[in-house]
Amino acid sequence: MAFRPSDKRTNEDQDTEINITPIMNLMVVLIPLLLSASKFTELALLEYLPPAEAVAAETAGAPPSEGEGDKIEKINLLLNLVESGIQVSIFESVEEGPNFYEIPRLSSGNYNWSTLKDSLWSIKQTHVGEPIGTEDVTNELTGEITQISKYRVIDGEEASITAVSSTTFQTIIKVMDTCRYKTVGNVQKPLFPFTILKQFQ
Amino acid sequence: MAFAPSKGKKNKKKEEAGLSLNSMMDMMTIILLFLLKSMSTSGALIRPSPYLELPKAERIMEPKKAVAILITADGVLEDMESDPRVLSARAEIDDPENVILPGLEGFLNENREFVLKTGRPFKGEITIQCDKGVTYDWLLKVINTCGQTEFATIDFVVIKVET
Repeated sequence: MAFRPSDKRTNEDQDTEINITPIMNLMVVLIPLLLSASKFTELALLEYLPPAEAVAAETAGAPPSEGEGDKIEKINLLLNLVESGIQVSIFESVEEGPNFYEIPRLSSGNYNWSTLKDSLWSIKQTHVGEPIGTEDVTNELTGEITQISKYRVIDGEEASITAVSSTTFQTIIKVMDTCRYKTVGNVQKPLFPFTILKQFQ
Repeated sequence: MAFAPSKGKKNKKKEEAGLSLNSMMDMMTIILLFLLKSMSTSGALIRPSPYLELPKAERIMEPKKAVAILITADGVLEDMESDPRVLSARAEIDDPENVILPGLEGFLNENREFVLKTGRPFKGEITIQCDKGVTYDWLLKVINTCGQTEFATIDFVVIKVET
């Protein structure tokens, strides 16, 4: 049998609430602080190696390995930004044909970036192919060792860019971006990520 | 003559209207979590200069601290929070005789020598914030000058866009 509650216990249970005012004060201070510190435009870096460094990176480091003697071919990919469009040249060709052609501007006046990307992908597939190995390259200044892909042509990841002097920096960045990767399915395949800016001839 | 208040209204008890902070707390917590999540320390390393408009690119390299310069419509400037020093003015860059920009060359040489004096390894890294409207001939002159002064790794600051 359960005990009967005593008759003296008459005080009622009181509702107790947490005092959230101090937490609110903290929030009011924290939120403006974080809002002022947060960044809404995300910055990134686009690395560029000037020609001398790019050539050094290409030749320095790795000792001669098997098949090195076969790597005598150079593709010499050159993208020339002119008023009428983008001229694509490989093997130093200047005569119109499969090794030298122009991608005209779109009717909107913009360069045709998607056709350029497709064109670079086609060149990569036809003349460069898949990597045949990797090699370690040491940066002489920093001592850092980076691994780069080796192709059957020496400049399999390299593209030279020239442009008329009035070309804007945004356009140059766009070309450099276009030269880097092509997304095939869900995979990013490298095109010609090492770009060299040259004087317009 | 005014109407007499109804008996029901006369007997109605006045209730105290309290401010409920619970929903406000929920909202504040959500905003706080969102801001904490979106905050990153790397953004503080480089601040976009108010003197130029950066181009957009699809890159994912994180910013790092290095010698920094600005290329604006007014010329090449030292990257400073306010009142940046002009290293090479418009006239100097436009001069066809100048393949290497003397003002910028002097500044970069000073920087290199300073690093070497302090005994730190000289990495030859430079960060450039360049206005998206700057022309190719200006850009080439700045790159040539950087190469001449052994700043061999050039990082252009861009606004990252989603692919």
